[in-house]
Amino acid sequence: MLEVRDLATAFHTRRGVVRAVDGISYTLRRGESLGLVGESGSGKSVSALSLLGLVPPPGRVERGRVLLRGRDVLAMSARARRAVRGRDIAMVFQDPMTSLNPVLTIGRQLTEGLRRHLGMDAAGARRRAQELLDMVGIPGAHGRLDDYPHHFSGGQRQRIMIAMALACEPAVLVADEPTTALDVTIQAQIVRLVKELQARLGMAILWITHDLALVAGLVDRVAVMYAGRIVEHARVRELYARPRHPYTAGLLRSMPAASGPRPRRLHSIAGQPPDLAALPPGCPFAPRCGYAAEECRRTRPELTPTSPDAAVACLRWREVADDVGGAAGAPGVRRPPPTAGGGEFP
Amino acid sequence: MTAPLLEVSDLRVHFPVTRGAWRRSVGAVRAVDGVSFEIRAGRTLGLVGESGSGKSTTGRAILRLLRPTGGRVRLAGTDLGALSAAELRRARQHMQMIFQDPYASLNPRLTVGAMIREPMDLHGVGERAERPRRVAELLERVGLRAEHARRHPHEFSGGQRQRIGIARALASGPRLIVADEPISSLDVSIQAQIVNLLADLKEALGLTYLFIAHDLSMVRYLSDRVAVMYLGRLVEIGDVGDVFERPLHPYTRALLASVPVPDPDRPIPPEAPVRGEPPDPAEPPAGCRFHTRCPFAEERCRIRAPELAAVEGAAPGQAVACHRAEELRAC
Repeated sequence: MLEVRDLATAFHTRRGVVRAVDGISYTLRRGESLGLVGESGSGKSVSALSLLGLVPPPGRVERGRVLLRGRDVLAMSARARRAVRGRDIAMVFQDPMTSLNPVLTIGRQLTEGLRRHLGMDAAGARRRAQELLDMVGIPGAHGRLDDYPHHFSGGQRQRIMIAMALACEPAVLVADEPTTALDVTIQAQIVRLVKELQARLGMAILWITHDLALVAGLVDRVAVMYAGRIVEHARVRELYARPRHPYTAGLLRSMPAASGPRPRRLHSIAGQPPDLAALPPGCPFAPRCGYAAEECRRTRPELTPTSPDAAVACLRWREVADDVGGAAGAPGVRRPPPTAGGGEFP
Repeated sequence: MTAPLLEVSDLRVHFPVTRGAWRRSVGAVRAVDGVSFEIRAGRTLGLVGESGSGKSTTGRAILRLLRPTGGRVRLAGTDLGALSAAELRRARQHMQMIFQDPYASLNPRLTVGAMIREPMDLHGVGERAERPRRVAELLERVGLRAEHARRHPHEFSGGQRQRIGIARALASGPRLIVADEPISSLDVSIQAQIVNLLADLKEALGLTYLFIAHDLSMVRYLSDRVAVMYLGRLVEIGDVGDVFERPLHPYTRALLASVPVPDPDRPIPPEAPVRGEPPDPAEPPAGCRFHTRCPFAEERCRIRAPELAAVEGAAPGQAVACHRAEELRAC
């Protein structure tokens, strides 16, 4: 359905070239959902914008291919790309106000895509817009097509964004932190809404988030990004049960549970996220990594398959997997992973 | 048992709602509407709630960064509302705040050292000549280095800036720290660092925290007790273990059930834990403020607001504002 090959996006700034996305590849099959997880600066959001050539200057997609149903989106004319957007692939962002036009009624904004992409007439599009608002759970949808975005709460605006994204029943939905700005009870509602709509419409979802807990029950596979690259990907169960990259393992361990025994101390990842304009040679996680050896500081590890459906970019992944997961057949063997010594402020 | 360091009783903060060119007052947002709790010295109370619940306003009103409409706040027995402006300035030495946004709360023009030193000069902490050494000590205490005193905030990452904010809050030697969402603007890998630092500082300095947050897992980790706010009122309070294991208020239950679980083997149930959205705080519903979203609401809930009270058979120290708490305890 969606195939991303060696996508790279760079920002040419006065401080130097920032390789926000540095050669990432993944595949999204029909009806499947993939979680793209990373912290700020990991490149996860830029990679989403890059899919449709929406990167703002001074950013530029430097190389790579984005194959949507076999056609390369990046090689298309701007006009052809606009036609693909909304009809074949749609996006939902963290802040709906950046995507909703504040001076147009939501009815106008909802019907626009229907008329352009599906060639509906005004009355038909309006009827469909009402159905869409109903579908995403806007109370009293019928009377609300003539309201403006500011008449709605944050959660409702996000529902409207989802309605707009799904208006033409796209094959792929890219959801970039759609619940991050929302309260947790509203997040729970939106997550269920998207899940239900996915089951009903059969679309594939790329779910971009910083929250490993959120995607656990939501996606089939997870790709973890760090400093512009995917450092690990696996099926969701495998990733949580047996992370192979020290960064993934560290993130999973640093989340305190909402039930069960309370830890005496939280595990934390030492140091700071990397400065993309001044990446160290070798593995960008090495300065924060308790497993880092001499060779990790010299060569940046490539993403290497560890099983038919998983890969990791770490020279010492076998040790990591043994420490945190207990190798298959050796349950209960849990050694606390080493912590990076001292070097919090190099 | 230690005496409470902070006693908050019937705290109210109402903001006027004005309309028209003459800013005619047409009502009030009851952001905080009769909140009472206490925190014992050396303990941490987690204050949780969603946006619009009034949790941050409560924190600010306690420190008198805004003037409460009513109620009383006592710090170590002193009624803060009865103090003159000069006395209040002196009292601030003992109570400090850590803010959510370390970018906005630090003055970009001052060096880190000058910023941390400011509260010491203001409150006359120690001898003048001693202060640079104390700045260096504080920087090291929060995990930075003494030479960072000469740098400016923009040279630091988000997590480091929050450490600077914490050092500044500690500079006057306070007993009470109100931490208002201190980790919510930080990256996940940095959050645990800051929470561990707060736990260490509490241990080492005998601090008392009001920890305001929406991240329930972090509140559970850091707090001894937890209070849950909804639309300006406390709906439940109790020891962390009791509230998280046996929540009594339907809202507390919904809130806890909404927290994503990092376990792929626990599928997300199809029904969301709570329907609808919080009502407009300017027009809160009559009766129990949660009744519009509550699956258990009945006639009396729509008419009369329940008081926060202990429940027969519940854990000691756990109190809940729900007419049906006793029935619901069983299910």
